[in-house]
Formats: sequence, C-alpha cells, structure tokens
Amino acid sequence: MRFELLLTQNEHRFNDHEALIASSIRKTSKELVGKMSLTVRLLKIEGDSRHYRSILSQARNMYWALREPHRSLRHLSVPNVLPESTQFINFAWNALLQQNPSVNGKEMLPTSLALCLSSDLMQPSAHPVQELSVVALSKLDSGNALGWPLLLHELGHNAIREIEFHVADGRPPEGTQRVHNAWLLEMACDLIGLRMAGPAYLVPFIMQTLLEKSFLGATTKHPSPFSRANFLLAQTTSWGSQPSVWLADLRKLVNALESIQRPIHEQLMKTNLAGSTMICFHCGSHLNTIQISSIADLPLTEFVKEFDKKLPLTEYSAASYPTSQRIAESLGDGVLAGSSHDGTEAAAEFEAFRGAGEDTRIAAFKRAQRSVCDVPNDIFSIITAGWIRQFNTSVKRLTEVLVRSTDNFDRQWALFTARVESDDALLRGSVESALFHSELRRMEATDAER
Amino acid sequence: MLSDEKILERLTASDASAIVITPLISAKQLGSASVDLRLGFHFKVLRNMQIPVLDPVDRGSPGELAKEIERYTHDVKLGFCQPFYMHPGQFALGTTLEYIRLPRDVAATLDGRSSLGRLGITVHSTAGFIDPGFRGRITYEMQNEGSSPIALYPGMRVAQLCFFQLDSAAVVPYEAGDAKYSQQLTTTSSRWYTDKDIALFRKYKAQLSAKKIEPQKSHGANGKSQETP
Repeated sequence: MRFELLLTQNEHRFNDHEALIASSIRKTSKELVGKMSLTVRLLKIEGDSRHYRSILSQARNMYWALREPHRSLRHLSVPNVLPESTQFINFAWNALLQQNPSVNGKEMLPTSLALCLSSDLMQPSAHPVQELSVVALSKLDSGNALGWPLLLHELGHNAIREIEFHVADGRPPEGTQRVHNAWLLEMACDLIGLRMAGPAYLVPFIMQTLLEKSFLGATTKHPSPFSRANFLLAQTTSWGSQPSVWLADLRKLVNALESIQRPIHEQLMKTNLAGSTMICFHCGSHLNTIQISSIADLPLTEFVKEFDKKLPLTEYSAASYPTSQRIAESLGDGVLAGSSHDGTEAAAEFEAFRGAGEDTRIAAFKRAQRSVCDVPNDIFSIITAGWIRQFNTSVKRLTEVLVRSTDNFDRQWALFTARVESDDALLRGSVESALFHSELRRMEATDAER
Repeated sequence: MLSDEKILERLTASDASAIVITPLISAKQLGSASVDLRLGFHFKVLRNMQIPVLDPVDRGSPGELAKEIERYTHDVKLGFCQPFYMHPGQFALGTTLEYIRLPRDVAATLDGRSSLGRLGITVHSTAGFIDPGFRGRITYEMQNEGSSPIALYPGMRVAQLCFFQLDSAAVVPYEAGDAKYSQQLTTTSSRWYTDKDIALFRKYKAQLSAKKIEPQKSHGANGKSQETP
C-alpha cells in the first residue's frame, strides 16, 4: 500500500527509467494486493494462528518482491534536496546539538545537513561543499513523515563519531571486541532516536524490523534486528501509561515473529545454540568465523549509563500537552495539527470576560484573546499521532476494502489510497507548520532577551 | 460582520459553531472586526514561456491540462527568513500560513493589509470570498502592481479576514458541494478546467468539429452579421 502511494506522490521526480520501474512495481503490487485480499477473506472465515502466520509470511514475501525495484528508485540526485524532510532533519540536528553543549568535538561537526546519494555518504570528503554532512534518504520516502524519525539514527552517527564509550566491566573477549564496539555504536544511535522522538522512532523502527529478512541474523556491523528491537523496548519503561498499550502490542509482534523465525534461522545457521549468532567476516585474505553471544551478554546497563553521561537528551514524555492522542483526534477531524491551544482554558477565559465588570473588561478581553493563541506542537508527538491514525483508521479501512468481495475493488482501492494520501498530506503539513511556528517563537524569544 | 467579541466567541467554541484558525500565533492578529493572516512558505509561479495558451477547451482533457500546468509551474518552497521577491508586474500564487475552518453559518472575505497595498502588493486578484464550510489554507493571488521589487517573507502578516454571519446556516456548505479546493493544505493551482461548464464547452466544440457545423451567425450593433467566437 505504502509503495503505491509513495509512487504516486513522487511521480514527478522520476526520470524515464525510473518511471518504467515504477510501472513494474505497480503491476506487482496490484497482483499481490489481490492475493492478500483473498487471504484476509479466508482469515475472516477461519481466524486461527495458522492463517495469521500465513498472512505474515505473505506480507513479508510481498515486501521482498518489491524491495529490489524500490532500491532502484532509492536515492536522490545531488543537489535535488527536498525541503520537507530537509527541514525536519535540520530541526532534529539543531535540537541534538543544542541539548548537548558538551558533545566532544562539537566544533568539528557540520552545522548543516543535506540529503544526497549514498555514494557521497561513503566518501564525505569528495563532496564539493565542505561544511555539509550528508544523509541518504530514499526518494520514495522523502514525503513520508511517518518514516522521517528513522533518520535520527543516521544523525546519531554524525553526533557520536567522536565519542568513545568507556565500559568499566564485562569487556568482550579480544576476538569479538571490534564487533561489539560496532554493535554498541549502532545501539547508541538507536538510543538517540528513541530518546529524542519516543514512539515516533520506536514504531517505525519496529515496523521496519519486522520486515527484515534476517530478523535474527547479526553482522559484524549490526546486531540482529530482533536484539535491537528488544533493547529499545526495554528502554521504554518510563513512558507512563498512555503508550504502554501499544508498547505491549509491539512486544507481542516482535515475539511472534521471533517464534516463527527461530527454527528457520537455526536450521540456516546449522547451530542449536539459543541466542547465539555465527558471523563470518574477512580479515586480510582469511575468512574468519566467530561466534558472538547475543547482546544480552553485553554490559548494557553500564553502557546506557555511560551514554547518558556523554549525551544527555531530553527524554520523550507522554505527559506533555497536548498528547499524541489529542493531536490524532485533530488530524481525524481534518484539521492541521501543527499548533494548538488549551481549549478548556480559552473557554474559561472567555467566560471570565463575559462576567467582568466595566473597569476590568478590556484586560479580561485581552487575556481571553491571548488564550486562543497557539503554541507549536512537538513534531515527534505529531508523527506519533500520525501512527495512531495509521493503526486506528487506515488499517481498519484497508481491512474493509480487502474483505469487500462484491463491489468494484479498483474503485474501493482508489478511494482508500486517496484517503490515506490526504491523511499523509495533513500530517506532513502539520509537521511543516509546527517547525515554522517553532522558528517564529525562537525569533520572538531572541528579541525578548535583548 | 462579526465584531472582535463575536470572533473570539467563535474561536473559543468547542462545537460545530467554532471558527478554527491555526496556527494563531499572536494576539496582535486579532483586530476589532478581523483576523490578520500570515504568508505561508509555499509559492507557485507559472513559467509561461513554453505554454502558448491556457485553453481549457482546446488543450486536451482535464487530466492532461492539469499535468501540463504542473509541469510548467515552478514550485518555490522557502525556509524561515528566506525572501520571496515580487517584481513589478509579477503574478504568483501563495498561501496563508493558517489553516482555516469555517462553520456552516459563517462566510468570510479576504483582503490585503493597507501597508502592503500602499507598496502595490495585492493578495487577491478577484476571489476574496470564502464560502461557509470552507476548510483548508486560502490561496493568495498575489501581484506586484507597484514599480519597485518587494521582498516578502513567510510569516509576515499580509492579509486580513472579515467574517459574516449568515441569516441561517448554509444547507449545502462548501465541503458538501462541488468543492474544487476542498481541504487544500498548500498553494493550489487553478482547477478551472474541471468546471462542468468547461466540459460542456469541450463537448460542444468536439461535436462542431465532428459534424463541421457552421457556427451561428449573430447580428452586431451596426446591423452587420458577426461570427460567434
């Protein structure tokens, strides 16, 4: 569904070759949607665990069939930067730097970021603009605000490339030290995303993780997606009651996939050592094979403590006003949700004005006027609200379209995609509006300080 | 026309009678009978050197015309504190920063602010009326009618909105009717080619060409016959 929507949204950016690929993706996705429709209908008749597994397996196969052509459309040509997500990246980057005046080597870090080709990312020195750090972004995902928080991981690599983590105890054996350091770096970048964006990072991370083919497999650079997901889920204990409902759902999803994949993985790896991973890597001309324990054996508590000392970040708080749930309601009403005010307070101030005497009438009126002025919403809360809409509304609508057997499927599908596209545009507009409003407030605050 | 008190009452309402304006950044925007609107950050300028004419009847189907307009429209999306230069005679589409939702019993009119008007900047060429039930960002039809280039910055207050209470709520508000610009969230190009009247013209003209019907003759004021266009 997302592929097809994103293709439509970005069509004007494609060259002729890419347009051909897009057309092939459309054809494949249409066939697969037909198959899914049939399976969902079967599920409605016989909703047992076997069918759920079948659905999951089909969804993953769909994703993998589309992944290769998606990669072909992946990167933007320089300097085709996109204002929507560039603003988001710059906002996040500035927030990261401002929160951490003590970041080691901060003066060496670039002040601005841009989106560009992955080849430039591999060779930053080759880039013509020296003071520019580049972050690769999929062409298709440039307008998908639901996925933007995943970029925070890449910003993490920018921020902590000069920082060393000193772990007091529990150092891994000599042979695996290098791998563990690389893993800790990846997990630190995940932690940055999680601390900054809360559920807005966690949810897309888990959604993407679930679709990874090597869900249980690790490499010398990355721990397994399963380990990373569990690590992040374990770091979310302080989020209060509101998100815990869907945190539980995410845990269930991750565990369900693990139980399906474990036997296949073990068979593939020819090992029965629970929680272990074999990794092959080249060292000079020799092919080495090492056995690495799971991340549970790493000194994670100390690592997180050390991380917090080096890079203290304001943690996501579910209690902040207005909550993502409230923003999701605004989005549901079709209202731009970049900013908001406390409606209850505004109504009370207006009532106070109505009851004010002649001498206090003007002052009470001005107070009431100030109470209807908005403050920008937290952009990550807005994106979380987008995910809430996605789960509560889009998925429900999709199920309705898929189980409808009589009506014209194409028409229903077109209506559905139009509605999701409209939701996407509202979400993107809300994020942009919040970013702009934040800048205006910063300008006014600077003026007030003077 | 709604007074400041009535506007505030609508802004604080939490039911269907509420006027929604967001982001409402400052109380300075609330005037005695109007609300100031700011300039958004998205503009559209038509690169007309490659288009011979915008003819909704003769230049293909509505879909083709829409694509042609998009292809030759230059989208400008500005960051914070980046100027948009309006040169003398230039026309551009802009948008309000604010998202507006009107209830079914309130209409509104958009007008420019005096300070910019004195420099020759107009923010709407002709369509300043906002229907009851409208929701979205309002598109500015901006033109520099003065003699100097003017820099405009997103976030500036450039227009004002006055509200009118209808004597009864509209039976068919904008959203429920044949709304071309429903829920527009950004600067939106003209969609005049989707008018039903235009479709009728297109159909009739196609019939004329197919049957080679002679256009009717009409008589001008001087008594000589003239061909209808």
